[in-house]
Amino acid sequence: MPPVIVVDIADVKAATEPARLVSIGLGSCVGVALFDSKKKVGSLAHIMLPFSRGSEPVDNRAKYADTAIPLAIEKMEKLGANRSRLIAKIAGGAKMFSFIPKDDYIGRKNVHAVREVLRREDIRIVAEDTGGSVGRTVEFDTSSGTMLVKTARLGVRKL
Amino acid sequence: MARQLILNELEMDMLREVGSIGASHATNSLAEMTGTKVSIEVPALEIRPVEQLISREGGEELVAGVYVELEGDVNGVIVLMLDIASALQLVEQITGMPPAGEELTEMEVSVLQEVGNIMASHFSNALADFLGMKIMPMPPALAVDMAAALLDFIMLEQACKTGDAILFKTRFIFQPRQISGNIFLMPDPESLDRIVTMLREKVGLGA
Repeated sequence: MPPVIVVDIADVKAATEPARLVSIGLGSCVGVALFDSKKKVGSLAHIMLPFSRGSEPVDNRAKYADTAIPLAIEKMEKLGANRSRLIAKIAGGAKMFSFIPKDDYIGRKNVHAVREVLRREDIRIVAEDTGGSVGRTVEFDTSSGTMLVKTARLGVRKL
Repeated sequence: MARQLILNELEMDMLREVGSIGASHATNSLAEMTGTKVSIEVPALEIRPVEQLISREGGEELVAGVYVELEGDVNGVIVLMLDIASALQLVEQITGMPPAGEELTEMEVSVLQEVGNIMASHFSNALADFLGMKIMPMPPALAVDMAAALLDFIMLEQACKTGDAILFKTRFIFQPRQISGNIFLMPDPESLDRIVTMLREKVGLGA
């Protein structure tokens, strides 16, 4: 089995193959995996909040969608990836307590921000498992580009 | 509104005392409900970047969380959190009925929600009385999922403005079966400011 690299909350890691990039227990957070299938370079960002908006200087670029995604691209380019080849798979952004009457929850804002930033970077989302009321552990394989989304009670989904 | 929350030792001590008053009222209500003894550990108060608290407090283990939002002079949330086995044991203790399986039944869900509701009401009433503030608990919501996922939701909703989370955490142990759980109080930063101001007035330090 390829070695596991844990990507903690508000962190971004990039790796060449073989590796499994893992983020545990995404609730409102969103896991964004980027992949260059030709170079077999992948990255996983464990994004916590939507926009860094003026909270300059940004304490940690890996925390926000608008700064974490560019950071992930930079890290991948250092490993030989080509930005024009990148595709994205995303998971997370839940509202864990389904009965709370709240539509503007952080999970939804995070997913919207991630989509917007990926569009701005011209990276296509090829697979997505977001929203709902379920916690997700994601595991991204840098050889195959497969993202496994594991849940406590709804089984495993392969993206 | 984003500013650093910096409190001195005296303010931290006073806040811990307030948390302790709330937590003991909450756990006493649990003791009354079940006719047994509940002991609490000394409450911890932490103010730190939200990502540090989430990654330390939560893993992949399955937990039941009852979430009660607070409104009024204090905005925030009170959360009762138990690992799933403890949650089932607690329900059994209250209803006298053994768990039906690993998944919570509708009845078990409503018992846990009611436990969370009663604990949160006692917690917030004790705070409101002590501080002379108006605090209203909203209806409870329950979720069973990975601890990290529940905590990331709960903490980010409270801390998204400043990035710092304020966590009062009290661990309780419920006799005779040693069922343990945690009760969290997380006020938002503006509410913490109001609480500190009230406390300073109370001890004659002025605003």
